[in-house]
Amino acid sequence: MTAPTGPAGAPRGLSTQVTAGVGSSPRRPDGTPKVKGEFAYSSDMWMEDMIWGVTLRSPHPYARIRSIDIGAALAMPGVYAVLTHEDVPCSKFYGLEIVDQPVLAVDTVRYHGEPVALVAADHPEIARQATKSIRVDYDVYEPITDARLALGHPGWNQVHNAPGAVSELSRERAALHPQGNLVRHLKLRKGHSDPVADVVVGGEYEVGMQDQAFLGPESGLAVPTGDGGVELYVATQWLHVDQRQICAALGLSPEKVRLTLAGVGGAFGGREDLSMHVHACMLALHTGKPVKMVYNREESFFGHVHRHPAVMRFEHGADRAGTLIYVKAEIYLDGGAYASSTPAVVGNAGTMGIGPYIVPNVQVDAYGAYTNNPPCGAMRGFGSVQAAFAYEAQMDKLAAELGMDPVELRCRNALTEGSQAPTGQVIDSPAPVEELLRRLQAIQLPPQRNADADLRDLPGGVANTTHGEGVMRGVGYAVAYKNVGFSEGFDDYSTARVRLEAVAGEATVTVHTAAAEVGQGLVTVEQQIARTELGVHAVVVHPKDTQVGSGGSTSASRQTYVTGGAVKAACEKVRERALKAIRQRTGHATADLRLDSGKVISEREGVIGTLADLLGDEVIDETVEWHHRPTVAVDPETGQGFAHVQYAFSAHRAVVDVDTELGLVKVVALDCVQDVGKAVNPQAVVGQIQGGSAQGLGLAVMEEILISGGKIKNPSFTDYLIPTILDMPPMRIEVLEYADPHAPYGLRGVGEPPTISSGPAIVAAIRDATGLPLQRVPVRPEHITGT
Amino acid sequence: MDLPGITEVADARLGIWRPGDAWLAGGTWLFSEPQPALTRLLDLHAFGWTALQVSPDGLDIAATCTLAELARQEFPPWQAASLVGQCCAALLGSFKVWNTATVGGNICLALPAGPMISLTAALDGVAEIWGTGGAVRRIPVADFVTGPGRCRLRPGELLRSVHLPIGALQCATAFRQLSLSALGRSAAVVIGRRSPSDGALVITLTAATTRPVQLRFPAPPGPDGLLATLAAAAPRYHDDVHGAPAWREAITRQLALEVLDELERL
Repeated sequence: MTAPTGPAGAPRGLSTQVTAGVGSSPRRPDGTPKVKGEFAYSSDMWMEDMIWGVTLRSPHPYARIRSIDIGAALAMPGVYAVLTHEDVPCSKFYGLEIVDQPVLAVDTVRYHGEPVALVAADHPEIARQATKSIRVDYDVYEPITDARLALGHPGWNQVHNAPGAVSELSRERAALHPQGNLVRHLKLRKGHSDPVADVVVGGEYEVGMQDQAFLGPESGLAVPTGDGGVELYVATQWLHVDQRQICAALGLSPEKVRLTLAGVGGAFGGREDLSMHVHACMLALHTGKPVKMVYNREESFFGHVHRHPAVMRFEHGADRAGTLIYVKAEIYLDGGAYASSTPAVVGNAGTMGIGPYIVPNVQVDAYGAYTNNPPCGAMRGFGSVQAAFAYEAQMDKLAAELGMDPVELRCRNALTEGSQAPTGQVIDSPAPVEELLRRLQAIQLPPQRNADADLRDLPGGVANTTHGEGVMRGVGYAVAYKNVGFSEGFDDYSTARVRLEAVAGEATVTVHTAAAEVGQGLVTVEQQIARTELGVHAVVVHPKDTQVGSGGSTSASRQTYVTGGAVKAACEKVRERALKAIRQRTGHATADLRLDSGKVISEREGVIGTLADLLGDEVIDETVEWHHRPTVAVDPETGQGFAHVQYAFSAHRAVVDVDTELGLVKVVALDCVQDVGKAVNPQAVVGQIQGGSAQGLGLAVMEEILISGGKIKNPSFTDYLIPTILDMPPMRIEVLEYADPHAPYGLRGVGEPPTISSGPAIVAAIRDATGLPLQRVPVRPEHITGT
Repeated sequence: MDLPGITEVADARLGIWRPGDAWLAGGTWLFSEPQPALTRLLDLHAFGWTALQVSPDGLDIAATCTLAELARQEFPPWQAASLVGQCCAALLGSFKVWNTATVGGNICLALPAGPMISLTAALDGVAEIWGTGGAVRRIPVADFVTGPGRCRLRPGELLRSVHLPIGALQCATAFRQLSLSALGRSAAVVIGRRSPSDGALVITLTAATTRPVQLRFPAPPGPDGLLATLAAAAPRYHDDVHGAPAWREAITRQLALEVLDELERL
């Protein structure tokens, strides 16, 4: 396995020696170059003779295209190509789960920013100017921007299984897609349909549209191979699904479409769908030249999916002792113009929708709808994030109604190992929900603010807006769980190729997977596993590409579990063959041998030689496709079934100071306890918890893509606010390691749970400080001041 | 710079202004996004203006003075000098912007949240404007900015400097600034100043309002008087993603009361 050559900035493989295995925190091989600014991100790639691609996007959220005139653009000096849907060679549509999204708008645009045409030119500015010369004649329609209206739900209490059939909006135009505006309806039915409870609380909740806000905008470089094929270097999350969709659009076989992962500047779900992939390939094949495409920040907001906004109605019933009797919920998720991951998001919102609690009677209806808002899809913790804001608010409301401590109420109803999820699935690994909460309670609260508090520690900071007057403190708790890996019968697997050989007198392992490193540290984990399993120091991580089988998506907190499992399994095969070869050479029984620190060790005789010497010229190369336990599709009428392979649990406690006069919030503390099964890389685990918590904080009080009439109002980091180090409090984190017996090393996915429980804890703390119901996130200052 | 439409960067002293020209000071906004309508930049640095000049009459700030230069300057013992640092810190920008952005550029950009507008309007700054034919006119900064992105510069005119009168610089001041995130774009800036000689009070509202609004009182008016005057002024509150108008109005009232309280206690 040799790293391919390619454009400047293409990955060359990471070969930093890792000196520690599973359970330690070695230096990341990509860490130093990233910190020093030497790491090549996808937007840094360069080739001689390269030209630039630019996208013309729709200015309207909903319109019919009467005509497109490309003549003036094509005539501009420096322009190599102007392409429209008519130039898409094969399938004009693509999609992760439902093939419904046009590569380039065919006759209708369904969201503001939808790609309509492409230009390739010898300079990006010339290409941009050329796009302005393309004349598109639109017949503009009124956009449909409310998910419930799109489904034909003028009121809360109607439920329709057949979208549009009884809808006042089911006119021809209102059906955004031929199949109607319903993407998915998940029904969950458990226990009695009409249970009776002593105490009942209800509420309506709303979650805004969050952006992944990754720092590296969409970019890539497509290079024609000369045989009718194309190589694409791109920042993405799932190489093989990209490849599948590109092949379908271009009408090429996978052998003709090779993908290599370029440097990725964050993803968080936003790169799971295609962006410029097919476009760059089309332009490259059309012109015969390498074509680079790089979105700017504004275009990036139009170029990827976002977190689904949600409106939810929940009702909880309990007995007077606080034992939950039932939960009823309706969850409406706005999928925007195209399906993307909406079916899976609906699945998660429904099956995880009541939180990690034991509830005998459950009735949940989760809907995903098409609208003319920007498409929504995968984002860290999807489905669960939205539902958690509602169910945790409900638990606090119920506790107040019962006169109970909110943590006691949660502990009383907490899931445990052996209990049933609302899908009927028995939790068959540790579920330490109560322990998470108890440990959080035991962490000392931050000291009360004193009269001469530093301005920097008060809401408003150094702006001198308060010296403590009008500032109220609040404390809130939240707990969450999240499915790990792909669910509901999806055949979720990863492929790993592992090669062991002696290089320059040292046993060296090369690990080759297609699992995308997006910044989370997978390359380090792959090295750690190889070292642990094969007892070597030198581990080379091959560039990620489609020359090896699929690694699956870098999402759903799954890569350490699934690709880690694949690497482990491949290493075990390599080790078995290596020991067999050594046995043949030395006569030692394989059961007597182990590999450690580059040496072969006999249990009886000690070191019998170096692995490199004993391997000699032999090269051991194994490829393994590793699948996790199968799950099943849930029953369409009841939502019952073994839907998820693993659950991961986290809990947060937030302490906030709120300036009730001005509506400003200062998060004073945000502590977290999370069970990770096995901390494969403890430092990375803490980093994931910190990062996930920050993203949860962002949704709680800062982050929202503001849409008006289907148009994004704030496509910039000046106007779309994300938390910085100034907004994040220091975190106290406790990591529990209760092994999941079904998972490699007992590990659990880590990345998503902290994004789910952090936000609801912060909002609970603001409610505690203000006494306000706060049913919408992000909480904005005017929600607190009432203005 | 990635402005392929620009064919020339000329000495501003020599160039005769023509359509397609733009005055270049720090360039932090000019270079931040495509400027397809521009063909030439006229570099104001060629004038070699002294950034800051202190005189018995007050302070003259050249349009090309950077925020970093302004913030570093040591001033005579003017009570209002503390405002300079507070307003410079209210700029949403990196250290690079801090070292490059100019006072003149910030004022002419005319964003409601422009902190140099806040500073110079609050201190009764007067803008000196040079016309194409050599004409010079002067306008109070509070009147110079007329709305979001709008000011009273005519085509070809340039902002030469801002004069801050000594009387204002000798006033005690109170400053309040608020944004949705730490170091974020200002949603409201309220600055008060009180004359040490006659106790007169001026409260200047920026960021929350679409243009600077000044409330003048011969003496501290008390909370009710302040709120009544504010209501009578009926400012137009800015509406963007950094704050809804109703909230900006509410916090402006609150911050104005705080400013009044602070200055009353002097």
